[in-house]
Amino acid sequence: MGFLGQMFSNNRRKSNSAAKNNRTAPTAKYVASSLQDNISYVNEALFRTADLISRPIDYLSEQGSLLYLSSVCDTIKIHQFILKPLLGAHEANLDRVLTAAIVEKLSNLEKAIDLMLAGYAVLFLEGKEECYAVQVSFINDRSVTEPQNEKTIQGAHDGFIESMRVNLQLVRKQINSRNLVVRRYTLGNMTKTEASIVYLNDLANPELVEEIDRRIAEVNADNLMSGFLLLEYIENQSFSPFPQILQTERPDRVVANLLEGRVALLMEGSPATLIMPVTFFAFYQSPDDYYSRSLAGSFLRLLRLFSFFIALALPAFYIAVVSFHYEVIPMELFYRIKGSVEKIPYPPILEALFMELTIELLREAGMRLPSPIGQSIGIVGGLVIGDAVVRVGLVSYPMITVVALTAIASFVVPSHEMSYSVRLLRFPVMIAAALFGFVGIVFALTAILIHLCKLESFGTPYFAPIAPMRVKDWKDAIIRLPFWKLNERPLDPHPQKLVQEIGAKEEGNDDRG
Amino acid sequence: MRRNLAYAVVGAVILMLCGCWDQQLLKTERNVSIAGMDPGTNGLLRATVSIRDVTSTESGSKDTNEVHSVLARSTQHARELLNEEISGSYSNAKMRVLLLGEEMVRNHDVMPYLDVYYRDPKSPLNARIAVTRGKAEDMIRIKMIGSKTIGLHIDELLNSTEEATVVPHVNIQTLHPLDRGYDFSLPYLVIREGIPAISGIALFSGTRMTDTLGLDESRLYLLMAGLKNINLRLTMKSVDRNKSNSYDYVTVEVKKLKRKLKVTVSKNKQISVKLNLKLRVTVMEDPRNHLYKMKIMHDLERTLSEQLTDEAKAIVHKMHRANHDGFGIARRLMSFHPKLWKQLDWDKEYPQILFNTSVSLQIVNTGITE
Repeated sequence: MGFLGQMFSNNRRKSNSAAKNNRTAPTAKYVASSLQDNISYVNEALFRTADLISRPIDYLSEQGSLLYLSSVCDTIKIHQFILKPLLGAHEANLDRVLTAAIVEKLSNLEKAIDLMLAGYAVLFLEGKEECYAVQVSFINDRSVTEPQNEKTIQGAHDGFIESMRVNLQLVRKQINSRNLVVRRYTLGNMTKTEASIVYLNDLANPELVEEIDRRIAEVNADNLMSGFLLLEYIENQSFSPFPQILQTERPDRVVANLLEGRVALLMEGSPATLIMPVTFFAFYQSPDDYYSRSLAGSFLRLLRLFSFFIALALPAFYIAVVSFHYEVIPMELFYRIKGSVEKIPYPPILEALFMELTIELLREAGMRLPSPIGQSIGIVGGLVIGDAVVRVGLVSYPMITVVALTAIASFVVPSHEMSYSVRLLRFPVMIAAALFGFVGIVFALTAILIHLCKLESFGTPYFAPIAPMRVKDWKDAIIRLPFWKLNERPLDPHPQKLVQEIGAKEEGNDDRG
Repeated sequence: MRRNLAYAVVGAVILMLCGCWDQQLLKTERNVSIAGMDPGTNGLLRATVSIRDVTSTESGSKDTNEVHSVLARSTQHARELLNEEISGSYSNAKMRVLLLGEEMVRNHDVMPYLDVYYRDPKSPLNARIAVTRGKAEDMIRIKMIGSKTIGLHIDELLNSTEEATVVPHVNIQTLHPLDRGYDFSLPYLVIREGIPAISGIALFSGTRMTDTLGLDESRLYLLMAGLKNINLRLTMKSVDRNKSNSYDYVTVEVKKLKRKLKVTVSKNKQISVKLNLKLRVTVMEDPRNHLYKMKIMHDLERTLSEQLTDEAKAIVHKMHRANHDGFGIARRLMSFHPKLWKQLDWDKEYPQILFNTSVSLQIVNTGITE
């Protein structure tokens, strides 16, 4: 790790010094009284970009000009909110004439230019040392549809889109509380991406909010276009195989997490919302658990946690068995497996790696292709390769079974990042199994467990209800008891209020008899 | 940085090398399914093994096996010799049955040959043990019975007869010489028309086989030893012991066994054993079908009880003659009368012990419904 550290710290120093220069605020330049001066200044400031439109206006016999960037402004809005009122105006007071929702009166020309970039049209008038910036940005939102990667069977089917305004609205729609606070940031020295963190003021731990605020403010980079970029800047350990920030495109998931006292980070231009801090078990929870009844939800959760072990250790277990401890196989199965393994030329680890890589290839290939071709890849991969590879004698039937089971188990994980980490982690476990058998598996799993126990997400323990142990929280982390049993919120984000419901159906409180 | 890289490479290489030593690839091993021991010439051991192979093809899988036999000085030596004869490396981790030739157990002590089984960590301690009439090698050379290999056949044969309480449940582990104060008995196999079959059990005195019991006797013997397994069926004559008419047989299944074994030592150091069996049985087969009459049922109970008591006495007699202490009388003496035990010459004393054996039988059910 030492040499890696050296490499990366070196890089960081360079980019720091470069970024400092970028950050210097432009010097103030005031609006001149000459219309022509202003227009030419803006033109120069934007390097005569072709999409800068300057439309001359006559307003109550005053000369004026409307400047805007045609690529970010909506011409219909310009017509409706600016041109039409101006042409029909009888008043000299422009504040009354402009009917748009957001109109700013500016004397700083640099500020006006920044606003133009954000979708404002700026109105300059001859002889006035002020200008009016009217928000007429072009809004091209996709409709609020269910996210492709987080589908549920029951429950809400809306999902976040690429517009933060809409996303915030989706969150506010579900939490009608004055405690819901939005803090805005502008990130990226060049991209100037809008971002906001959302939390419940009376729930989220103030220290946590400050920590997140601090980390976001510390980031000094040119490009912070999406949450994925920001995520690596603010997470605790980028080289941990486990994701420490939950990404979701579902408003209901965000809302549920906000109500546990966590913080959500929304960004303009990306539908993925980051939720922090989270625990390991959050990645194995799906909104579906809460939309079905508690028994079914608990069953599904246990199934998913079980799938974690299958996806992580099943190929390793098989390798260890066939190369070290074959005496644990029951007799009839033993001879069957032996019969099919006998003619394979490679050691089990190579066989497994070959098959695992083939599956990963198939998955990757299937994902990149348009869906009609993608399906045929599935058929070619699953049926043709799966069968042919055995007939050729590269891989044995039991190995195909094991790898297929493992692949299915890794698909079960509701979160993509966690699925990737499990898929990655299984290779070291497999190698350990090939080297030392069961002992190797135990060592590898112990190392993973130690790492999980050590890992933190924004100062809260990552492996929370298990290490540190809090059996009370298991009823919403490992299984899902009925809602009336979940009297307290999980402790791991240290919410300000722990009690979330008062025993409705519990003994002594049951007034239904 | 270059040094760190070198450390990482060296570390990885060390890690990779040290594990491979212990590797034991399934595909390179040849697995014995059944082994047999016979006495060879000049005090050597004639070891015979059958190696089972399953070849899976697209149309299904096919069982085959090959038999190897070597003349060796000891069991471990036999393994070395076999390893020089077979294609892969020899492994007996999945061995199911160990056969002992009758001559081997009658005239030789078999325990030295079993020693290596208790040392090897991969040893098949749950492999069953049986005695064969004649040579074990002859039975293993049968190779296939129907589509099954000999090892699988004998294993399943022993398993099902264990469940029916025809033979005791014995494996290499239960035979361990540390288990003292008790004589074991082993299933006794014969080759009947070219097929291995159970013909009863072989009684041992210490490590030597001394006698055999037939199938009927072995069932009652196991009842008396308190070793009833899942089910136990007895077919006996129901009316007159001397007549044999097909209507005169009855089959009962023992539902519950109550066994009382009491070892008493009188003042003049005479050891006597009181063995009392109480059976609660279900009538499975009764061609005469008069059991709905209480009197007939009680008569039947009495006849069967007498019959079983007589047979039990005969078995005890046989055990005395064979010097076979299958009920663990010695162990009771060791624990309850240690002073006396030290003075005893057990081999001489055992046949002198008075056995008071009685079997009483009660019919609790006569039909299908229980």
